[in-house]
Parts: sequence; structure tokens; C-alpha cells
Amino acid sequence: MALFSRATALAGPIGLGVAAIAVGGSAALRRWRGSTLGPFVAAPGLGGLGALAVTAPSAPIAEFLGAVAGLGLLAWLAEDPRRVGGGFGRATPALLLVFLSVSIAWASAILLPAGEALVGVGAGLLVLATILLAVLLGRPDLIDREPPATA
Amino acid sequence: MNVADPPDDGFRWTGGAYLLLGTGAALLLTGVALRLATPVFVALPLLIAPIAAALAGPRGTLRARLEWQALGAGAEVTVGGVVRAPAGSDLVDVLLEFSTPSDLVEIAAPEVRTRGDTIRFVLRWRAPYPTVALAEPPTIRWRDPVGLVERTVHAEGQRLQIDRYPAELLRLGTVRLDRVLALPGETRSRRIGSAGEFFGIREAEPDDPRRRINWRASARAGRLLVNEYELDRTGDVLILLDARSTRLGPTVDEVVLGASRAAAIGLLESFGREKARIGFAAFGEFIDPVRLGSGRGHRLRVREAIRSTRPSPVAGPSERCAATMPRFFAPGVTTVLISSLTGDAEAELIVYLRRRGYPTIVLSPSPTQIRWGGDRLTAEDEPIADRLERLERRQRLAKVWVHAPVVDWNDFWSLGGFVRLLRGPGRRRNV
Repeated sequence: MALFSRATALAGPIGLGVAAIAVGGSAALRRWRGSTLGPFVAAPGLGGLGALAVTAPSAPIAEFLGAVAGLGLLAWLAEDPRRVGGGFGRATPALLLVFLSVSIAWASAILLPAGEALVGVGAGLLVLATILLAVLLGRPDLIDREPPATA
Repeated sequence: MNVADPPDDGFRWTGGAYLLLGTGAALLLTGVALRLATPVFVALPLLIAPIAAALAGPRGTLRARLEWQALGAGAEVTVGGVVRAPAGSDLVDVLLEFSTPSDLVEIAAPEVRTRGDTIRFVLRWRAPYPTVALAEPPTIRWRDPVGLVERTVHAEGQRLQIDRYPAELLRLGTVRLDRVLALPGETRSRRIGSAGEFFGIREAEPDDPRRRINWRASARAGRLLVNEYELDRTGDVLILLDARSTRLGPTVDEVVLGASRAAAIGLLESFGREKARIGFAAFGEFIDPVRLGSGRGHRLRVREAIRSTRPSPVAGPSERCAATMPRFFAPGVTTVLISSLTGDAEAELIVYLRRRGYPTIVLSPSPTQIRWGGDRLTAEDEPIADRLERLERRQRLAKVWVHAPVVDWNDFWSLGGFVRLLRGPGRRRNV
């Protein structure tokens, strides 16, 4: 998130300060209230990420760093000290899927001309993802299948 | 015929998933509204992560086996258990959620250790008063490492019965009881045990005491042989719980009745082991009886009846109880009445029972130590009020002694006085 803050339009110390507060807040919540808040300890981190994202220019490096910062937050959530160690390793398949999706979207944006088309492609990918999510929320049995009887 | 699989709950999104989705949606809308690409790309991993976690999770119905037991003695309750996964699966991302029974207090955080396909846990509770509690099996859930989706794991395991009553009750079983059988004569028991008329000889087992070894027979046979005896069937006993509400209020009534239930369970177990015929009745507004009987099935029925007894908001008249009793229990059966004796109505019950021909022994749990815990008295007034309460109670019990022997149960973790009264030689004539 510190690297992402350098790519935003905020002045250096302010951006770093926002990143530090976000990270520190989440770490403090996990340390002192982790057992009661659970995954909500990520709220300060998400807030800082959002603040940095809206102040960042539409540049490829900023977009990439922003996505990586989001991935970093997910990786941090996977390493919960209250659970069995090695959470990052067990979450690798899911995180890899997210990384691939982000990479495909970012690479597509790089190869396409700059301007509104870039936003349109990204939005289109996300609209597709949102529609898929809405379908899965309504029909969870689509992803929940019994393993074959004769494996 | 195969047993049908339990309904699969499927995936559930946790609060964290909704947080990420909400933030991602807000960033997406912001990016589209302000025509900025960066928020859109920051939103992308937040929106895809829950779907990816769901896709990467386990498939099919998740099962596990739960084995647990209650250990410890007295007020300390230690529950140890293990959750095992089927072969080929592990429990690394499985979480357990425990619920403490309402009669117990948690004194330490649960200790949970996960290793591969087993989870071992230890719970430490304390019973403030004697109680019979049922602990529900823990809720077992699989949650993905990021904490975005979870699924219920169906565990095969029973609720855990936790009985805590004074240990002296276990020595009650050898008390001789009267019988109220319709047929005269000796009633033989088919049970073979450690005392009674000589029955035969068998091979010694490692836990047989030395005094049961038949040395002559062992010398002849060249191996250790022990005597076996045919136990006499002992008599009948009726446990009567006075479950009427009193002037002390619902909170104290519930605590006192909880201790009474624990004592009743202790009596049931103690007499039941000696194959006495046991009956039970709870009196609130009306009498709720379980007729005299013996055997394991009957003890389970009585245990369930005791466990489900609750303070009755409407107090029935004492004479109704005594008048109804002969319909279910023959007069003459030794009756152990468990009642707090806080008012005249409770004391009258003993008089009516005696008139109907029920020899009664009263075990009276004292509400004194419970009552003054919550009252708003100053530090100077509390000992005075306590002393006055004890004097009043002493006077009330003295009046009841005219009709039946009474044991004032002050210390809830000790019933030595009650056991001595029952086993004493003067008990038969007193009742």
C-alpha cells in the first residue's frame, strides 16, 4: 500500500500517512479485537485503499499497484494468527485466481488505446463478474456439486 | 437401505465477504462515475475474491465425528473431546464454536489444537451449584483461509450430560427400603453382584477386590477364583420434587430447583444401581408422575422427567398433591421430598402426605446463601439479615420435625447429613 500511495496524486507524506493509518488501524484491530471482529478488521485497510484509489491518476502503474495492494490485503487476511498457520499457502488457489483475473484485465487495458475505452473495458469485465456473482448468490448449488461416485 | 444424507447447507458468505463486496461495488461505481480507471482496478480483486474462495473450497457434504466426555468432580467441570475427519480429509480450516450451558460458568477460554485430521479441545467450566446440565455439541464450520465463505460440517455426536451432585449420594444405595408390592414373600433379583446370598464362583478379573477371592477354591483350581452373590432386591422409593414458585422470586427458585434436580438425579442413580423400584413426581400446579419401576429404560424416563422439571408459576394447594398421590403410588412407599420449605404451603405438604400414609423424609435446600447475593443491603445490614433469615428458617424446620425428619441442606456440595439420616438405625421408626 505504501508503493501505491507513492503513485497517487496525494503529496508524499500525506499518501504515506494515509497508508500507514490504514495498515496500522487494521493491525491494531486484529491485535486487540480480532476474536470479536473477525474479517471486519480489514475495514481500516479498505478505507485507506479506497481513499488512495480515488486520488490516483489513471496511469497503468497506479492501476497495477492499486490492484496489487488489494491482493496484498487479501493475503494479509489469509494469515490470521488466531487460526492454524500457513493460511497464505492454503489460500493460494483462490488468490491465484484473483491475480490472474486482475492481470488479464490490466494487460487488456494496457494493450487497448488510452481514454474512455480503457474504463469501458474494465467496467465491462467487472459488470460480467458482478453478474456472475449475482447468479452464484442466488444459485449456490451451481458451484456446489457432489464429487463423482466413481472417481 | 442407506440413511439419507443430511441436507447440505452449501456455501454461506461471511460478513467479511459482504464488506469486500460492498467496498468493491462502491469503488466500481466511483470509478465509472468519475471516469477513473484506478478505482475500477482496485475494486477488481475485492469483487472476485469471494467467488474465488467459494470455487476453491471443498465440495460435497462435509462430515466429521465428535467424541466428548465430561471429566472432573464437584464444582469443576472439564470437558475433553476430539473431532475426527473422514479418511483422506483434514480439519485445518475447520472452526469450532462452543456454547456454555446456562447452569455453568466458563472459567477459561476453550483450548483447541488442530492437527491434520483431528481437532482436540478442552473446555473448563464451573458449576456454582449442583446441577444437571445438557451441553449442546459445538457448531463446526469450515471457513476459507481468507475468511470469506463458510460451510457447516455435519458432526455425528450426542449432547453431553453433565451431572454434578454431592458425592455422598453415591453411598446411599445400600439403604434398606420398604416394599409396597402387591404380592408377599421374597422377591429375588437376577442380578449377580458383590453382596447377598452366595451364588457361585467365577474366574477373577483384574478389578475384583482381594476380599472376594475364594482361597480354597483357588488353591484347588490353581488359579484365582472369586465368589459371586445374588443381590437381594431392595425396596421402593419415591422422589417428590416440590416445584412450586415461592416468595423468593423466579431467579432464586430456579437456582434452588436446579440443586434439587441434581439431588434427585443423585438419588436416582444411587438407588437405581441397587435395583430399587423408583418413582418420581414433580408437584407444581398439578402432580406430574412417573410410576414406580426399575431398569435402565425406566431410569432414563425418570431422568428425563427430573431434567425437564421447571418452577411452576402457579402453585397448587398441598392437599391436592397428597390427594392425587394414591392414584399413582401405593401408600407406604418411602418418600423423599425435596422442598425449600420457604413458606407454610410447603410445610403443609408434609402433614398431608403423612395423613395419606406416605412416610416422608425431607431434604430442604436452603435458599439463604443464594438469596442475599443480590439484595441491596449495606455491608453492615447484610450479616444481620442473614442471621435473622437463618433463625427464622431454623424455627420453621423445627416445626416440620414434628411430622417428618428434615435435613437442612446448607452446603450444596455436601449431603453427609442426609446420608447419615437415611442409613441411621432410627430412620425406620421415625418415618
